[in-house]
Amino acid sequence: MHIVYHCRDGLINSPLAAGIHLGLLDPAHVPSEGELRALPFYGRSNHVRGRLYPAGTDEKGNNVYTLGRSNAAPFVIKLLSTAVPALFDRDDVLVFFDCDVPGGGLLSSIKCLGRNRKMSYGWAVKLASCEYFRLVQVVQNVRTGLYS
Amino acid sequence: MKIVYRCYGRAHSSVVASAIHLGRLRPDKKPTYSELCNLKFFDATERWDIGIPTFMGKDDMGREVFTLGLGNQRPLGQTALESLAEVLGCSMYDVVMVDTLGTINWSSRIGGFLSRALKLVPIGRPLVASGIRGSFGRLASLVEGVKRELERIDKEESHLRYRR
Repeated sequence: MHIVYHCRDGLINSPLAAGIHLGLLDPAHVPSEGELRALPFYGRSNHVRGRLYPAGTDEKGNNVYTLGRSNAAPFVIKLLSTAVPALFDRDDVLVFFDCDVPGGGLLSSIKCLGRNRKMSYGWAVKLASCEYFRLVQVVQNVRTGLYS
Repeated sequence: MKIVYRCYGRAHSSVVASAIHLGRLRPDKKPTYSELCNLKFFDATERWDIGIPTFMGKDDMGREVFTLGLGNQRPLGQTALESLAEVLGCSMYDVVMVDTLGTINWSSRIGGFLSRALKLVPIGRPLVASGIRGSFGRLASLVEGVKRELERIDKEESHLRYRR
């Protein structure tokens, strides 16, 4: 199974969710700037939207990915899910989880300013931390749904 | 190998290109209005069909032919498919993507928009059919070019197999 965490830009929320899923981040406390910087797939500058970035493999052997899909979540999910059997003759299962929280579009845009160094990185992290526990909840729901 | 003819809504140009590829329309003869309208899936898709590859048939070499609409997300869709191929360990060389949007004229685009987006079928369908008839030569040359290229690849591959 391939577990895909997706968000609008694929830079902040989905890497955070993947980090929580893989046990790289502690769900009990908001990660520090250092911890975030240490995440290998967080806020990368050469990020391409539409590309699946492998984040790692979880304890059940499922591959975890992050994905930035602009505002076209239903389109990308439909395309990838139907292309697996139709174009690639495979029966792999892809499961998608939306990491965008309500009202996150604005926050996401502001965070992108941080990424582009037009705003301090620390502020971007503080804004990301507003959503951290909601992301923890998303990941916990995912894990409960998949593994229990 | 799979051939995917892609356009905006997989309702017109990709359907006609796949019909030419599969021999359902002759490349040297402009189709009539009724021939176009009788094609399976011509001007008959809905908004939610965008993003779903549709199997149209197998050509004389046994290659599967698909149509696909990528809406206004063509670069995103293309990147997503290439990335998926990588993730699955498949080769994108086995899936040939052919863009048909560049071959059609404004009449087809406006007619397609009227018919599919605004549901003004009595106005849109004749307009899109007339537009497709006008750009049929370009569509036919595109498909002929694709077939020639596929034949060349097949020959090279069989030559390589023979040499091995």
